[in-house]
Order: sequence, then structure tokens, then C-alpha cells
Amino acid sequence: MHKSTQDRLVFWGFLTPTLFAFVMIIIVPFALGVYYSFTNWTGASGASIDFVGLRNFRAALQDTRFFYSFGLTALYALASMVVINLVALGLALLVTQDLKLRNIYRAGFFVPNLIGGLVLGYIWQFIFNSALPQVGKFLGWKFLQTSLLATTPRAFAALVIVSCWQYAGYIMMIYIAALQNVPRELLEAAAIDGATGWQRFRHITVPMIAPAFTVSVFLTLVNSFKMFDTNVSLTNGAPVTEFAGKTVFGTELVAMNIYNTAFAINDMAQGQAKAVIFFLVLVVVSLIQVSVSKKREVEL
Amino acid sequence: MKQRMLATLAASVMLLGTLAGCGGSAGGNQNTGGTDAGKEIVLFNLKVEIDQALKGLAADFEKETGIKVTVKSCGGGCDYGAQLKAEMESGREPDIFVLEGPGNLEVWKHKVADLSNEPWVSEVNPDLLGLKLDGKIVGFPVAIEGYGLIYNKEILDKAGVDPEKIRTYSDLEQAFKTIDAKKEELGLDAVVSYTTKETWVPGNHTFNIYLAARDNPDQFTEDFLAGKVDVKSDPIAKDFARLVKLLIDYSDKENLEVIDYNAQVAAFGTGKTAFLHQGNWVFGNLKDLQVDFEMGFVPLALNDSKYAAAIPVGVPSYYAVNKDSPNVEAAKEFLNYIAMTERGHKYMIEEAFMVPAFKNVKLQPTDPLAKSIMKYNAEGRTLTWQFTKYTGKNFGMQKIAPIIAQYGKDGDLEKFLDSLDKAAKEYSTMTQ
Amino acid sequence: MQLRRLFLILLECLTAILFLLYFAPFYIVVVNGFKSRFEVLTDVLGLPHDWNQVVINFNSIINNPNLRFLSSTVSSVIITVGSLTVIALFSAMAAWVLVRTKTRVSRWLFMLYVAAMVIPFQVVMLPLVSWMRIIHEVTGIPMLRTYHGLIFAYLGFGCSLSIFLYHGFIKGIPLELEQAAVVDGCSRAGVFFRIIFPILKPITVTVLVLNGIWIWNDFLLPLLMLGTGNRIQTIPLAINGFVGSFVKQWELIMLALLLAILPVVVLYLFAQKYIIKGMVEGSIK
Repeated sequence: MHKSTQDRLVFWGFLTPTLFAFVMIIIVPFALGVYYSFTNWTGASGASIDFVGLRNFRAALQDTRFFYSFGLTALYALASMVVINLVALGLALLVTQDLKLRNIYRAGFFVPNLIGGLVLGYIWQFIFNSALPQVGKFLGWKFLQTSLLATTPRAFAALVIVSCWQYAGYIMMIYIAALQNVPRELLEAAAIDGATGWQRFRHITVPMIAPAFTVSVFLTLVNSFKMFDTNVSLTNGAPVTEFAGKTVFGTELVAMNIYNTAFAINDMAQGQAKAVIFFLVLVVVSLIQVSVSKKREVEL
Repeated sequence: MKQRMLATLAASVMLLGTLAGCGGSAGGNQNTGGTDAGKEIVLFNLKVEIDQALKGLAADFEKETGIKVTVKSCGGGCDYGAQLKAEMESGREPDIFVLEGPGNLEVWKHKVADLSNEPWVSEVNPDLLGLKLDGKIVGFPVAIEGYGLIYNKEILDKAGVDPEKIRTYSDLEQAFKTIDAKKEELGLDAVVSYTTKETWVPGNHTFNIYLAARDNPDQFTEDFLAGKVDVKSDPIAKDFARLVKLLIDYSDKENLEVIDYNAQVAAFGTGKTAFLHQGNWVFGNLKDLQVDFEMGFVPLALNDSKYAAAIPVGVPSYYAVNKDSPNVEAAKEFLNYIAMTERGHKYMIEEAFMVPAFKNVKLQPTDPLAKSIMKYNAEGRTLTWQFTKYTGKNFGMQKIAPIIAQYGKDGDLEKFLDSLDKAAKEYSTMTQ
Repeated sequence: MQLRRLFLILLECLTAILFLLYFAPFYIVVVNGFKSRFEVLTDVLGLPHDWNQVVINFNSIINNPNLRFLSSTVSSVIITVGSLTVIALFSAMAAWVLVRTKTRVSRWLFMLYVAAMVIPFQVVMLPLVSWMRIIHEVTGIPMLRTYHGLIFAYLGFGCSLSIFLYHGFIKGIPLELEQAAVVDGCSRAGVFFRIIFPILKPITVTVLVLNGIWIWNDFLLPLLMLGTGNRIQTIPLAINGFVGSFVKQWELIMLALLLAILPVVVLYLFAQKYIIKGMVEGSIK
């Protein structure tokens, strides 16, 4: 009995610091946030908070701009997930070869990840608007001469490019780790049996690194859905486009839409309602993704 | 004029947050000096650019009156609204602080002293005394600013266009066409440097023309924002659409949503455009670009009424006096020193490079844009700033700007007017 | 074999070109950090006419009263180091007891931590600030605009992922190790600090790197908790002063950015062997 008491003491003692911070920083504000989304909360202290039912949710769901942001974010998450993982896997395959400078490459590709998204977006804005058009003029390439941020599809591509530049090095590390766990003997044995490079990759390497796919897809997906800093600094929503008969900001992802609703348009409660909707969608997406990946892992 | 998103965030957040600061000092009757001669007033300044000039003025003021003025400045990355809250809780409240408009006054209305009976009031055009609380004047106009189309005199001369003669829409259109025809030989990329990327330019400044260039603009704006105006049947709306189209068609159309403030000013400053849709605040940036051509303003003329020949002039910031301060009189004296003495005039014109709101100022500014604005002001060719009435919810930047940008792309007049109409009605029903 | 060598040389070239392209943005950052305002606006790609311009730019950064670059650096270091210490220590402790205690409460708590990872920051950011204010009013402990408040917040936001990572790693540590220690007379807590925590070194490096990059660069949370222009400001907040203002002073932004990332990059290059090893061992378990 004495031992079990001591165990329980240690259990709760060791848990308390994180649990306390976790509850105070995430759980309580989260609960407050859900509560506020049903009220006319303005954020100002002292103002009375009245229950308004589903009004904020109705307003959010009737907002064309919010819908557009949602669709765009889904598209963006999908695009960047694919691009980042392909690039990262490609880089990982490259730098696990017997290259002379492979340690430098490994370290180097990771460096963009050390820079914060906000400043990074401003730098890329400068590159897209000022540097690349000059390169385009120099090379005589028409498509580079106008800024990549000038039309909505191009600006969307720019967002994906920048996230890929920032994030691929990180995901690459995960793939490197996985690739190093693939037993060399297995690959060599297959080679002796006459398997081509592609066959070895498809039938040995890919199944062996399946857990890395799961982790990477999850990380890129969730991060893309939460994308905010780079969005603000790189495009700030521009250029505008038409959606369902309304003019909307063409590259405003959902996190930025929430932020604008709360702070720019100054409707804190509706912004909070949108955040709650956003959260629910994220939960669903995550659950689907994890279950799909798990299933695939088994199949592979 | 700093319209930026992050500042909005910071300001809103600090509204939530700063009250947590150092509680207990809110009452604020902290008298630091005992005797009259040893009095010290604190001025919390908004613009770090004028910090040195203001300190110089304060030193001379102290020599003359024995009242010490401590200047604290907030600039660069500092968000004034948030920082002011912190200063107010710091244990030494500023005696003079800055209010940027009616929105800020709402926050600080319990702190402002009545300035209605100050001598400088009679020297200011009543339109520019807009900061009022229950009919009492509570704001000292720090400076005035104006905007319109800034022209490059050198290019206009070469093209044979006289800026003085641009007073109606047809004049403006003609001028644009003339210059556009000679674009190659003048070495221009476009006639006018415009942007829809910086949403405050179309959403606040351009749109203000629609609201202000008419009889009784205050009433109209109020009706418009209350959703009581039928935009589609308003003839001035069509005139406005025509002006927007002109601006967009003769600018670097492809890059309108890419050109930021820097690029916009740089295109004009390096002689790549003949006009620039901005205000006199760009002069410092143009100086960085080492410009040496003559320049001035032509109006954003939308039709041939007398209002088309005028430029919007307003007050971006006011000084307010802290009414809980034990030094109210000393603070008022310092404001008078700025407005009513030659030393003060010298400070405003020659040291801080501002356009004074006061009619008694005899000195001429060297800044050509300031000169141009003073000329418009003297001739009475000014419009009011209506856009300050809707900046609280960023109606211009969030709702109007995209509509203007979209109109620039498809030129669909009917849709444009319809969208403006809907936006106003939506605004009028917004809760809170 | 000849063919294989040729292939490798080709691959080496390809990778090198890719690598240079990948680093091209840094070229833009560096050269423009060394230019004057006028030059930045007129010639973006070229080398600076006068490299000494950097001294002028450097001085305007160091002497900028609002930027307070040195004190911002100190604040950033305090916040990052403080947060990393508590996150690593407390998360490891929590993860260990969660792994070694097989009760429903334990499983349920672990699920809660993991599930919270999908809560987007936007959902909690607005209420968080007013909640912090309430805490101050009730307990008298100021949370906003203080080091401890921000570090506490980072512990709250950072513990989920860290516990998740530690949890995965600890699962792979054989229980016999601990049992042997218990036989030797170690107390339960002693087992953790003497036996387990040292074994956790590789995953601890991962946790430190992941959280360190995030905290060092984080913008929105410091903005919410510290505000702008207050006594305590982090480097991203300071740099935002340059970037977010009316006129973008690109040459100063670029140089300030260089100054800001230099310590991180140097630290990274210095320790990258351990970092990569840690990440490699820690990322998939």
C-alpha cells in the first residue's frame, strides 16, 4: 500500500507542472473561447457579456469570404503537403547518397527553418517583387518579369513555394532518419537478385519509411492549416478575386480571416466563432488523416 | 497615417491586456514639481521624426518660462495607442498626449481638458477643429496633411501640361491622355503611380473623394454608412467610378496589387511616372530618393463641380491636455507657445517640416508639397476627411478596397456600384 | 564502377546547384543589408557599391531607440532559455510517469495532451489575454508583460508536442533498467533523475531544437503577451518595428535579420552533429 501511495504521489507530482500550465494556458482559454463564441463579447474589459445563441455562427456561415478562405486553405494544405513531402523526400534521397559534401548539404537545407515566418515572408515579398523581375529582365523570361504576387493563382503558388522553402529541410530530416533505418543488406540482396533501383525503392524503401510518411504528412498538413505569419507578411490577402458573386481577398487563408474578423473588422465574438468552426474542421481532418495513414502503413 | 494590420492587432490586444499593467496608479495626481518655476510637463510624442525638433523647442520654452517640458517619443515599431495606455499607468501620466481621431477620443474622453477658450482656436479653420467632446474643443491640431495627385513638374512641362489648369475631370483625363501618348519619349512606365495593394489608399483616400466631393458631405457620409443611400442612382457614384477607372487604366495595371507604398513612391521618385496618388507625407521618402524636380498637387477631380478642384485636407493627429494633471495651465501655455509665437512657427515649419493648421503663420515652408497644401488651404479649395469616420472597423481597407481592386480588373460599372451599395448596407447592419 | 562514379559526380553537381539555388535568398539578404536605401530601391541584385555602408546601417540599428537591439537580444535569450529549461524538464517528467503508469487516468491524460495539438492558436489567443488579466486581478500576480508570464505560456503551448516526443522515446526504454535501479535502493523519483533523464539526451536535443526554433522566432504570442514598445521585447517584435511601419527600410530589415539569425545559425552549425543525431534518433520512434 505504501508503495502505491508513493507511486501516486510521484505520478501527480511529476505531472503537475505541465498539467497546470496546460490547463491555465490552453484548456481554460479554450473553454472561454467556446463560451465567448456564443456571446456578444467585445474583448473590452468591463463590457457586459450577453448570450446571443448561434448568431455568431450564423454570421460566420453566411460569410462568403470565410467560405472562400476555407476552400483555399484546404487547397493550400493539400498542395503544400504534396510539394513539401516530395521535395523533402527528394532532398533526403540526394543527401543520403555518397556525396562528398553531404553533411554540408544536410545542415544547409535545414537553415531556412531557423528563420521566423513573419520576417521570412517579408523577405520573399521583396524577392518576388523586386529581385525576381530583375532576374527575369536579365534572362528575358517573360513569366518572371511581373511579380509572382500579381495574380491570385500565382500568389497562391508563391505561398506554396515559400512554405516549401522554409519547411522542406525539416521534413527532410525526418526522411533521412527513416532512410538510415533501411537495412543496407536488404537493398544489396535485392540488387543481387536483379531488382532495379525503382523496384528497390518502391518495394523496400517506401514500406520501410512508411511511418515517416505518416509523421510528415501529419505535420505538414496541420502546419499548413494553421499557416498565418507568412501569409500576412507575404501577400496579406492580395490580390482580390471573385467568389460566388462577391469580391474576396484571393490569398486570405482561414487563420488570417479569423484574425481580420476579430481585429480589423473588430468583431471579436464572430472571430471566435470562426475559430471554433476552424477547430472542429481541423479535428475532423486530423482524424481522417491519421486513420488513412495508419491503414496505408498496414497495407504497405 | 500608419494604417497597418499589426498595429491594429497590437492596439486591440492591448485594450484587452494593458489594464493588467501596474494597477493602482489610475487616479493619477502625481505632481512632480512643488513650486511653479520648477514645474515639469511631460509631452508624449507620436512621431519620432520630430523628436529632436520638439526637444529644441522645449528647451527654449523652459528658458522663457521656467517650465520644463520633457518630451517622450514613440515611433518606428512602437504602437502609440498601446504605449499611451502604459504611460498612463506608469505612475507619471503625460500632461500632453496625442489623439489620432474620434476613435482614440472615445478611449480617452475621461482624460481630456476643454481647450475651447484658448487663443489659438480662432486661428484655425473650423473644419480642422474636428476633435470635439460635447461641443467643446479638446484637440490641438498638431499639423495638417493633404493628399491628391502629386505631379512631377519636369515631366508635365515636357509634355506640355499645365498643372494649374487641371480643375475638372475632363482636364485630368486630357492631361493623362497627353502624357500617355508621349510615354516613350518621356521615359515613363505609366502615367500615374497608384496601388490597390496598400488597401488604405483606395479604401480610405480614393473613396473619400466620393464621400466628400459634394454638398453637405458630413450628412451624406452618415447616411451612406447607415445604409440609407442608393448608390446605384447617385450620379456622383458614376463620376467616382469614372475617376477610379481613369486612375487604374493609366497606372501599372498589371502590378496594382503588388505595388506597395515603397514601390509606389519609388516609381514616382525615379521619374517613371508623372503622377503619384499620395499625400504630403511622402516628401521625406522622396528626399531619400534624392529627387530634385519641382512638384505639387493636382486634385483627384471626379466631375466638373467646384469640389472636383479641391484636395482633401485633414488633421492626422491632435494634442490633448490631460485634465487630471496638476499642470493643465502650463501645458496649455506650451501649446500656445507653439501656435502663437514666432519661435513656435519656426519649429513647425523649419524644424519639424509640418504644415501648420494656423492662419497666423507667416513663414513659408521649403517643402514643395507642404507649400502646395498651404496654397489650397488659403484658396479654400479643400475637402474634408470623411474616411476617419469608418476606420474603426476598417471598412475602407477590408470592404471598399477589394471592390475597387476588382473594378480595376473587370471594369463592370453596374457590379461596382452594386457592390458598394451592398457593402454600405452590410456595414450598417454590423453588430456591436 | 566507373559508371557509378560518374553518376555520383553528376549527382554531386546537381545537389550543389540545388543547394546554391536554395541559398540564393540569403544572397539577396546579405547584399541588400550592405546597401544604402537608394541603392536598395534602384539595384536589388548587384553587389553593393560601398561595403562600408554596412557600418552606417549597423549603427542605425544599434542606436535605434525603439529597436533596442541589444536589450531585445537579451530578452529573447532569457525567454528562450527559460522556456526550454522548463519545457524539457517538466515534459520529460510528465511523459515518464504517463508511460510507466498504466491506468485509465494516465491514458486519458496523454490523449488530452496529444489532442490539444490540433487546437489552433487562433482559438485560444483572444481569450488567453483576458484570462491572463483575470489571473492578475484575482491573484495579484502579473502575467502580461513579464518574463515569467510568457515562459509559463510557452510551457503550456510547448508541453503537448514535447510530452508526445518523450512518450514515444521512453516507451522504447526497457523497464528492467529501472527495476534494477529500484533494487539498488533508488527511490521512484531518483530513478527518473539518475537513470532515465540522462538516457533521454538524444530526444531532449530534439525537443530543445524544435521548441527553440519556434520560441526564438515566435511573433504572435510575444505580441499578445508583451505588446510592442514595452520594457521587454523579443527580437521578432523589434524587427517588426522596421518591417511593419509605413515605409519598409529594407536595408535595415535585411541587416537586422542577419544579425538576428546569425547567433542561431552559428549555434546550429556548431551543434548540428548532435542536433541532427538527436533529431534522427528522436523523430521516429
